[in-house]
Amino acid sequence: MNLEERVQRLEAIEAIRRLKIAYARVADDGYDGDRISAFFTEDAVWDGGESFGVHRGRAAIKELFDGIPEQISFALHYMVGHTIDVDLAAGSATGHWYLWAPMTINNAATLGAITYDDEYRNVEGTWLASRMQVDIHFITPYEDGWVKTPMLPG
Amino acid sequence: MASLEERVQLLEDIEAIRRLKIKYARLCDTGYDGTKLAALFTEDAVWDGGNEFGVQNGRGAIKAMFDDMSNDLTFALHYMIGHTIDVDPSGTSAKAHWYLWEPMTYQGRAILNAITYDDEHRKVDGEWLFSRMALTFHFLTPYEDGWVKTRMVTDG
Repeated sequence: MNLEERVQRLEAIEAIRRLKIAYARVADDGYDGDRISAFFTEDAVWDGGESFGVHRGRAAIKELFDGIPEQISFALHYMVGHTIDVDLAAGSATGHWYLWAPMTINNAATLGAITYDDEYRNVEGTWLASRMQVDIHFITPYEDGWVKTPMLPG
Repeated sequence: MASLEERVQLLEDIEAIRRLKIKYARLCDTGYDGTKLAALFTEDAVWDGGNEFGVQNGRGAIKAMFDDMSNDLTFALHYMIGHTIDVDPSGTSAKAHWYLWEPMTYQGRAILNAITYDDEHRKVDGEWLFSRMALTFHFLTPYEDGWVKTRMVTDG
């Protein structure tokens, strides 16, 4: 890589890192579906597995997030430990993140531990998420802990 | 389009500001030395702890606050996470947002603290400093209670 490409790679990593934090902040600010879905490509997939389902396309992702505050009235998304691999020529990237999330779900204090496998695309100069795959390690009532109750029922 | 030199400068500024915040965290976690902490702030800086912890105006007031902190706050770990740093095109000021996850011992009790910060920075003689640090408390709860039962221990 020449110097220009090396700087471009660092800029892309920082832009993608910021994208993920922006996603976290909008989630923590009430999960506004319009604002959150704008971080995704039109054909993006948000894959929450068996617990949260698979949501295909920006419209489905908007709908998913608009419905979340009914159950999750408070959350802080601590996004930690990113690994971001950029393919400049292809205009694409992959990312891995850890999430630590204290939440209030159905009025109960809850701890969530998640890792993400993300895919990103550069669309007209802006990095967007084209896939977000959520791997849930535990979502436990605060009082129980993850050995007693690794996953909230329902 | 910014020059290559300007683009590298921006990345270096973001990294320097990130390090400043982590330095702040580490000084807090190793005994809140007021002199060392105050040196991270501009002379006219404001530390705004809101209704819970008050507003400190100026480096002298900030030093005095931190020097007293260890009396009640005997242990803390400041996990500074998820920064968003915007450097002004002038390259001499910046704004930052951070998440903090902080297990601490306050007056002998285990406490979990969840904060977000809105910071402002100025570059003084080539060095990035805090010119403002504003704290938003999401919860400050006794470990045994959790944030639904007791959102703010200071309310009790």
